[in-house]
Amino acid sequence: MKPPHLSRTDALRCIPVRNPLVSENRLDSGVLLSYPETLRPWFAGFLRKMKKESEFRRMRKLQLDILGTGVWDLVDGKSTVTEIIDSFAGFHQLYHKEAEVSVIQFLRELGRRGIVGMKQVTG
Amino acid sequence: MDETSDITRWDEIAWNGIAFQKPSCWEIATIGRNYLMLGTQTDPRMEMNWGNPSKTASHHRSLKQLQAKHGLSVDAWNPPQSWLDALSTHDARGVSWKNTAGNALIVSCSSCNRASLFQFYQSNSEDTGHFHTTVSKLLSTFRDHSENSHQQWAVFDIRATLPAAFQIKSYQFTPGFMTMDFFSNGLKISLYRWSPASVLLAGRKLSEFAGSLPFYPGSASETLQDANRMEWKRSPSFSLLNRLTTFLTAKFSHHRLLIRHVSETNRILAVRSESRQPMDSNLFDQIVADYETAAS
Repeated sequence: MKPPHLSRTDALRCIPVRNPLVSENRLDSGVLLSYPETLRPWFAGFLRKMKKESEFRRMRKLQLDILGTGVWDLVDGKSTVTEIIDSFAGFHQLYHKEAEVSVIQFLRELGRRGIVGMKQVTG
Repeated sequence: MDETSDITRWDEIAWNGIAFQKPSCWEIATIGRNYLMLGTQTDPRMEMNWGNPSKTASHHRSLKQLQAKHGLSVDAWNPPQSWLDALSTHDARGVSWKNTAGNALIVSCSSCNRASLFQFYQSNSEDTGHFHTTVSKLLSTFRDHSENSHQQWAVFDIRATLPAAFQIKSYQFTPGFMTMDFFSNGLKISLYRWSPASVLLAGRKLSEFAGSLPFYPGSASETLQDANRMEWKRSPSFSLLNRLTTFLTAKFSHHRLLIRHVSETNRILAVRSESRQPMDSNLFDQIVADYETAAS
């Protein structure tokens, strides 16, 4: 099923939520994330039917730099995308648009890898 | 907060010959050499195209050129009187697109012959009176030529003033890094801006950061002014061979770079000059002094 179309306003009001299967390791250079590889839906469905999903699901790693770690720490399951952008911009004294582009791009990349999901806020 | 109601804070935008005040929440969404689109976080609020000033063409002709360039097949449209009143020193008229819905304001200047085209977009939640007041205030601050021999540049958080003879050649605005290159008579000025400085300089000195830049001129000519400000100068030696090579290759042979860490705004700024003849030192110093970033 196709996901519903979100307006920009609605997208900014979404709450990024961490995938509970992601584990983190704190290093001096930033956070190292370990996350399960995202499988194509048809393949994941096939494996689930064959009860072989756990055998094929590999763990991948992603090293975040200082800025990425900053945004990751702001993904607390409560803050909206807008709130994360505002906090990130305030902390680093960034120009707001600059923070907005960086944070959205970063969250999109985490979403593509299945590290975070977006919870839509209704009302 | 409703973004449209927050028009108490205004700031300036100045880009390639035009300048005006705008609500701070109207940020640059798209920028081109002669094009701007401003919007809030959620909605586009205005678009603007403009032509170049002309010494010979009449402003009516500039107007027609701008219309032809954008393929405008238009009917007349009566803009709000308050918009026209705000542009009392310009010739302003409203046009309405024939094929697609939309109105625009064409503004031409009788002193510089520059024609500009504005489109404003009212947001769904915005009161019409409020919208007209905002647009009128913006238009009243519109300038399409400089009153002196200098030109201002104010985009995003960058603020600079250069002699009007400098034309922008290229620019790049990306998160963390912005640059603009200007040319005038064998002289190139480049402005750079990096952020956040606290992350870029984490655990290293400004000189080490500078050393990682692709245009770093080398440590031999380095002048350390203080921990937050460094300068490099490089000029060719006066040997006949060097002078001949410089003349034949037409390369920039004089280089100067000043880089500084502005801790108040957490930015690193740099000004770089490249020229065939030694650059006027006072001019370089003035450009450096006028180049700054606005507080976030």
